Amino acid sequence: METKDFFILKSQIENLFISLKESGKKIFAPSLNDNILDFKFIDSFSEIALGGSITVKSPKSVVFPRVEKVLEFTKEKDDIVILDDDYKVIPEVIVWGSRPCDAKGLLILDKVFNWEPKDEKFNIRKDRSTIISFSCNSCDEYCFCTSVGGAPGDPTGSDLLFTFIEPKEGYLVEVLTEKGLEVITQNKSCFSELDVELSKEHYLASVSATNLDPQLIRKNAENHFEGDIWAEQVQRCIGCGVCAFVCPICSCFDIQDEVHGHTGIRLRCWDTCSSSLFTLHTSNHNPRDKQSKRWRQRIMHKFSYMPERFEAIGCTGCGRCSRACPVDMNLKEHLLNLQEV
Amino acid sequence: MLDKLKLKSKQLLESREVNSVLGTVHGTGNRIRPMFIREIKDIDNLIINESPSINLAAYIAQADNLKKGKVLIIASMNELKAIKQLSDENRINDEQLRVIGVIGKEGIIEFNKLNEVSDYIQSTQSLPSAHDNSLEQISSMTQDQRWQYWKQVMEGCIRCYACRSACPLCYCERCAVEINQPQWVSVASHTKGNFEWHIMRAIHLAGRCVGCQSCSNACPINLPIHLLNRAVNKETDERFGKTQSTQSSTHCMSSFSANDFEDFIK
Repeated sequence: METKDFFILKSQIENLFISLKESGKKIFAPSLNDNILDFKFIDSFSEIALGGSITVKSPKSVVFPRVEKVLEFTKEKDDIVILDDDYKVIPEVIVWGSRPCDAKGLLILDKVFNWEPKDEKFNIRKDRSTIISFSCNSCDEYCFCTSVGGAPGDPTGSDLLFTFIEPKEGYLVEVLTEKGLEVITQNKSCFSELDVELSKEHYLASVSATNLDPQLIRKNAENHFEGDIWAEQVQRCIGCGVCAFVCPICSCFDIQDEVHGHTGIRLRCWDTCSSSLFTLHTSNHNPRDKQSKRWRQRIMHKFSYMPERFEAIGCTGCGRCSRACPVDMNLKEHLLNLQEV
Repeated sequence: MLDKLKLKSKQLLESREVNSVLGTVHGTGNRIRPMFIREIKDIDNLIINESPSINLAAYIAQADNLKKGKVLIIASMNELKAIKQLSDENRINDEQLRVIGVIGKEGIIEFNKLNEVSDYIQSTQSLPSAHDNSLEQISSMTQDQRWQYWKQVMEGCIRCYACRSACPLCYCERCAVEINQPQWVSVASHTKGNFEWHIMRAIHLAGRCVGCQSCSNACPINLPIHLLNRAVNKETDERFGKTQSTQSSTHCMSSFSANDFEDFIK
C-alpha cells in the first residue's frame, strides 16, 4: 500500500509500548532470561531486549503454538460429543521486535496453513497478530538472508518496519499494511509524519554475500537424490529436533490425544522430520529409515518442494538452525557443499 | 601431544585397522565440531578439545555409526566414562571400537581393549557427586522454591530431545516416549508433559549417567537438566551402594542383590 513513512523518537518507544499494552493487546517480544534471548509475552518495557543477537526461537508460536488444543471430546453413554476449541480466547497480539527474516517466514507459514483445507485457527491467530519488525543493524557469521532473497531491511511480511537511524535518535517507520497504519493512527502522539526522504540503507547490517544459488541447490539436490552426498553431510547430525523447532518456517506437527476416563483433548504439537519415527508406518515400513534420508528431506523440502509448490524458498537465511545445532551442522556450509557436487 | 595424537590416528587409519577417526575439529566461529574423519589428509584438522560440550560417545552408542567399520574415538574423560558404561552394558565391543584417551596433563593413552578403559576409569575416578556442589543451590531451597524452580525450567522445554540425542547412554532404538501402547509419557510439550519426560529420562539413567553434561550443553535454551541426573545418582549412591557407572561394573538398574532395600513395598 502507498503511504508516507513516519518517524518515532527513541524516547517515544516506551510510550508506544505502554499505549499498546493498555489497549488490551499482549506484547510478544525478545527478552533475556539466564543469558538466553527468546520471545516471550512481556509485562513491562524493561523486559524487552532488542538489538544485538537474534532470538533462539522465531516468533512463529504466535500463529503456530508449540502445543495447541484442537478439540475436546466426551463420551456420553454411546455418544461422543466433540467440542471445538473456543476461538474467542485467542488474544490480540503485537509481535514486537521480529526481524525481517521472521516476518518473511510467517508468509510461508501462511501458504502452508492455507493450502486446502484452510486452517481456521491459524488464520484467526494471524488476523489477531500485528507484526512490528525492527531492521537488523548487525548480523553474525550465521546470517545469510541476502543469499535467499531476503535483506536486513526487508519489510515483506511485516505490518510495520522500524529502522533505527542513529543520528536522528529515532526510527524510520515504514507502514506496510492497514493493520500497521491502524497502530499509527491509534497512537498519533508517538509518531510524526516524515516529509523528507529518510534512507535506511546506511543503517542496515552488512550481511556477507555468499555464492549460494538456490536454483543450483535445487537442481543438484534433485539430480543427486540417490547420491552419497546426503550420508556424507549427515554424519555428525544426532537427529534431534532443534533445527526444526527454532526455524521460522518449519511447520510439521504431530496430533496427540490425551484421554482421562471418558474425556479427552486433542492437541497439535510441533514435530520434526528429523525424528526416526516421522515416516514410520504402522506396518513397520519406514521410507526414511536413515538419518541421511531425513537430512535429504529437510533440504529438499526447503529448496525443492516449497519452490515447486509455493514459488518460494523455504528458508529465510536467519541462521537459527545453525546457531542452535548442538553439533555445528551449519546449514550454509552444507548448502554450498551441495552446490559443488 | 596433538602431533602424537595425529600420528597415532594416521597410523591406525592407514593400516585400515580402523576406517574412521571420531574426534573434534574447528567449527563455526570458535565452536568445536565433532567429526568423523575418513581420509588421512583430514587428520591434520584434528584438535584437542579443551572445553567438551557434546559427548562423542553418543555417536558410538548408535549402531548405525559403527556399521561402516571400526571407529577410533579420541576420548576425553567424559567419553572414557561413557565408554566404560556402554561396555559394561554390552552396547559396544572390541571389534567395533578403538580408543585413544586424551587426559589433560597426562597426555595420550592408547587403550588396546575396552576393559582397559574400564580399569582406568575405576582406578582414577572418584564418585561424580562426591566433590560436586552443583546440587548445593537447589538442595538449600525449600520444597516450594524447588518446585517453582523446576516448574520454570519445564515451562521452557520444547521437547526437541537434543538432551536425549546428545546423551551417550540414551540409545534405545524406540524410546519410551515414542511408545503409544500404552502412552507412558505425554508427548506434548506442556509443563506437565515435560516434567514426565525429564523425570522418566532421569530414572532410566539412574546409576548410568556419567555426569558429562552433554544433555544440558545440547539444550538450545541451556536448561540445567543435568542436575536431575546428578540428584538421581546421589540417591542411587546412598541407597544402593557404590553402583554408579564409574565405580563398579555392577549397576543398580541391571543387577539385583538380596540386600536391596524394599521398604517401599508395603
